[in-house]
Amino acid sequence: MSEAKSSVNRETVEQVNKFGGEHYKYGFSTDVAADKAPLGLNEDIVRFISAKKEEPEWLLEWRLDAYQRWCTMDEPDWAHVDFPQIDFQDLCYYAAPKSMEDSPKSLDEVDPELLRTYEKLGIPLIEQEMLAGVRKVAVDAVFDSVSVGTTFRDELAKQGIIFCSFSEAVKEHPDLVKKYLGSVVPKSDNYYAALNSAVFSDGSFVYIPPGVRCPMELSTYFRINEANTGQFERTLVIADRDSYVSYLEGCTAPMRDENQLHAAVVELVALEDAEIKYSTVQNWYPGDADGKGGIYNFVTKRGDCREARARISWTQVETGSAVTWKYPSCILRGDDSSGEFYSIAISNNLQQVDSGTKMIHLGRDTSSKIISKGISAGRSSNVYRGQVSVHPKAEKARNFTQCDSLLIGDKCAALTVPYIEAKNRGAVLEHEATTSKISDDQMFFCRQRGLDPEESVALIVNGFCRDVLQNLPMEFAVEAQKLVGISLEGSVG
Amino acid sequence: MSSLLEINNLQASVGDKPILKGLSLSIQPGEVHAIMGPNGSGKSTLSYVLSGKDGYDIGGGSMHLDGQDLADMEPEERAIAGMFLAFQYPLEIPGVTNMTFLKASLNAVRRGRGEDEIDAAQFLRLAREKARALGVDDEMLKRPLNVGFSGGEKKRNEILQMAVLEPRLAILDETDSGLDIDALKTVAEGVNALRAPERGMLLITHYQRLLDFVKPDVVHVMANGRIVKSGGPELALELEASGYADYIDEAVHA
Amino acid sequence: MLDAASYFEQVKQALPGDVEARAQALHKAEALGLPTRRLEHWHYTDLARLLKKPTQENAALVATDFSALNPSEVRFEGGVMQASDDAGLADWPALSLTGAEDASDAMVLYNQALAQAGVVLELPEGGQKTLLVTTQGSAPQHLSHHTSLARGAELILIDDNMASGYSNVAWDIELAEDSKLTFVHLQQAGRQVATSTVRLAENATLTRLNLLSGQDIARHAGTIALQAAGARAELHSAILGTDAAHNDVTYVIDHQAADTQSNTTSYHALAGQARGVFQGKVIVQRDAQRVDAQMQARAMMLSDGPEMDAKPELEIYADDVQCAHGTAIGEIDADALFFLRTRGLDEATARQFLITGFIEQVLDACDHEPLVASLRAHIETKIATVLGQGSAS
Repeated sequence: MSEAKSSVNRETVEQVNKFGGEHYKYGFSTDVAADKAPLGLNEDIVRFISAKKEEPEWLLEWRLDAYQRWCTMDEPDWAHVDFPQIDFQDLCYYAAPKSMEDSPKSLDEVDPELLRTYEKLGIPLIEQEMLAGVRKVAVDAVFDSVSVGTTFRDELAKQGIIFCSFSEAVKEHPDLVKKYLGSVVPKSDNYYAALNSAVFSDGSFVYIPPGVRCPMELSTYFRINEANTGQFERTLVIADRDSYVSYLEGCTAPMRDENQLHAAVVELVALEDAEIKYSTVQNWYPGDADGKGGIYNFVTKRGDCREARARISWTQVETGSAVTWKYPSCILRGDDSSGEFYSIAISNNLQQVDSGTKMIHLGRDTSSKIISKGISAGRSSNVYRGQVSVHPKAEKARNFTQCDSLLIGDKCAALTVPYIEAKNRGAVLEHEATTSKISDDQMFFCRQRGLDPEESVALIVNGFCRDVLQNLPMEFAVEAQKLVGISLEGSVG
Repeated sequence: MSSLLEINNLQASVGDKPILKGLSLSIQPGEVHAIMGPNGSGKSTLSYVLSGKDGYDIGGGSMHLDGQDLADMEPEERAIAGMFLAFQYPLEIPGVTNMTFLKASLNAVRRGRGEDEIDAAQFLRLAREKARALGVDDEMLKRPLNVGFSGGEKKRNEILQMAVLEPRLAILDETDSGLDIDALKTVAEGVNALRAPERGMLLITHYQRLLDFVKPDVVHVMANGRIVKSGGPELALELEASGYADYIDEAVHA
Repeated sequence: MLDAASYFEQVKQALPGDVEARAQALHKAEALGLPTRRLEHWHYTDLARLLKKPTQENAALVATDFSALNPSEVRFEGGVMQASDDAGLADWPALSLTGAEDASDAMVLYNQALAQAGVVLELPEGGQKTLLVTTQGSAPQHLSHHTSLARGAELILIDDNMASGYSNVAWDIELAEDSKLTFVHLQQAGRQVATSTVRLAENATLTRLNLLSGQDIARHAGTIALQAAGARAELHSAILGTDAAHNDVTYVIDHQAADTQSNTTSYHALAGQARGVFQGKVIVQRDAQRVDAQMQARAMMLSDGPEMDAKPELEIYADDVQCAHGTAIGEIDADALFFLRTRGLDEATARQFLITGFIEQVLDACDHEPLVASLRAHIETKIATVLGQGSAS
């Protein structure tokens, strides 16, 4: 291993370690004069956003259609979550940092204030640039709704890989966007997806050409900064035939008293023999110990294994948000395609998580695997909700699901709600779920070996999550392990 | 005297992968043969091909039991003809009691052989008698087949089925695996009790251990899908001392 | 189903009890309408749609021989009690609206509105009894049964429903301390909606066995409330689904107290165009520590047409618990089939063997030998009749 690599790792670890003192480490707010849309949502706002982004007519029409459909839809009420009614007319649907009006041509032109924000987050872009030659991570950072800078563009471009902000893709690669946008998550798929389709402001776009193995992890860090801003980013990843890409997404948001809405849509398309790995570490502000503030994270993520032997794998570490509503799913359309879902969902204090996955088997010899680890502490509620559905033509479909819940304390809740549906004789579906607690014996053992109660819990919970953690790329695994500990602070004692 | 089992230049593969590559073997009535060989040499495949498991393509050669060509026979037809396989990993069948299963099996075989079925009372007497000899108690007979049985109990149960069905040829696939010494002795005694002038046995084993208790007449070494050497019981001891390495090379380079 | 309102007008004068309360229940039921899949509790059984399907012919009904248990007997036909050989029953109408707290379920409300008759059995302290309730006939019937067991009482209750028409049957059962109920449901025909509520006091035991083999519609929903320490529920179902059968077993198992146990299994053997549904929700309430709740749903898919839907849920509010559920859906195990064939069984026999073994696991939790023998005979006859040779392949 090169020296550079190990020094970077050490630095990362130190940065993560620095998070140890306070409860929410990302609770700073950057002072950048914003260019904001007026409050509320109507056709004019949709036109405002589209105009702001200088979009083509077809995209404006697409947005308006989504908006019309959204107006006829109701908020879903089936999830096991409880929060005050959101006033969608009291939100701001567009906020761009002012200094972004003239897009920076390089990182040097990026507002130094923004760069310092990223430094505080522990993912300075400059450092990422310096990582060149070691293991590379290309970062497309989304500051509120506009992509502020994309690294490694040139190097990726040499291989024909497109990694840019969504708005840029609309301008530079309209055919690709037109072909794939909404092809996995239709604009009227659900209430929040329709809302996103109407008002999405930016996000990331990835296209990997046939036969190309993306040489580095692609990464996006999302932050929600502006008070009262909904963040509606849109991510579209297309892996053409026989290509491979690993995509990382990290999310943080400043501490605020009011709740903030985050309704993103992520669409993945894997063509023949292609593979997409999508990893998320979600650490949005969860609200304080009394449940004040925090992000509402209502996200639609779906991957389409559109052709034969395509593979899509979702890995998520969910520790943040006040309310999470999120089901990264796979449509297994191509024969021999496969889908995976690895999840760690931690809820503490008054957090509410309703998360899981759907595996829809349509093609022959399709397989899927679900490993879900839910950890509830405090007075939180943590739901695994999943669907495995084998359609009549999906000969020899296979699914294995392991779904474990860990309860810490006697004021929290753990729920498991799987829907298992077999319409083909040859389906082999196995589902297992367990519920357990951290035993007194385990705690005593750790403490006898010198760990304090919180370290003991972190250690035991990390062990409980091992099957999922080991699926994360190295860069994320360290951070995720640390987050597990941080998010459970105050859960014992 | 015609052979009880006659295998000639047998070739078998799974998918594209050849496993048996021209295997020949002949067993006379009353003889006990042992096949030894390293892992992956094709020993278990031989047992499955002889007993008719799906998933193996017979590429060439022949196999006959008592002069009957086995190739086109279903597994149950082979059982009726007298083929018995003691499984390396006996299956667990929930909900079907050992007793129910044994009776159904015995009567199916008897019907197939043109014999009368036996009634419940006769069967109970027969099963209990055979079970007692193998240390299988009534409780084990009433439990669902192999469910919750220990390794030793499962293997004893296989020998019990063999005792009840009275086959012409018994293939014991790694019957010694996973047994402690006491369990091994019990199983070996059961096997020895079933040696008979009209019956043949084929012991498939990785180790010499079983052969200390069940003395074979002939020992074969199998490697890379063929019999590469045959000899008397002393061959097994030789293998125990020197290992399979020589034979693997020989087979690969042959 | 016929139009409930006009049916009510026809029969209301003949119905016992408080007609006004019945009318109110009917009004509520009509407002809710027949259940559809939009209701989570009915997610896989869209009764409104199912009842529009043409009725299915039933395979021959098997009369099950329970004579070895020497039971008291009571028989219902067309919603009317036909004969009771001095079963020691109290008077009906004891129509009460208790046990029907779940007024959000239209089928419970229809039962309250239209119940014509039922069993009222109050077993005194230490009492022992075996009661066989048979239901027959093709006319629609609404039955409302009430049973309570006093301290230490033991009852074997067999609900043998052979009605070939529509039936809506409700059971409301109260188990006092140390009482023990073995509750068997046989369903072989017709369109049956059965709803039961069982409340268990300290150390009470419920062993419930459902054997469903009708070829039309069966929905068996049970709410089991474990209200005090030591209460234990063994809930086991076997479903033999063929042709266009729709068989739904739905449980809510509510552990309201610490140190309670439940064990739920469900075995579905499905052929033809049959649909099997298992929904099981285990709730462990706050402070119900040291609960042990296990749940397993298994399905064997015997042909190309069937569908199996399972929703085993956990809802846990206490941390010191042992809760697990599992689901396994697949074809007959090919290795087991091969094993049986090496022992001389032909393929059809071997399959039948494996199906029978699979289904008969439902009896594992019952230790009453004569009852097990009767039910085993029932299962074997049913499998031979319904699946027979060939249709299982």
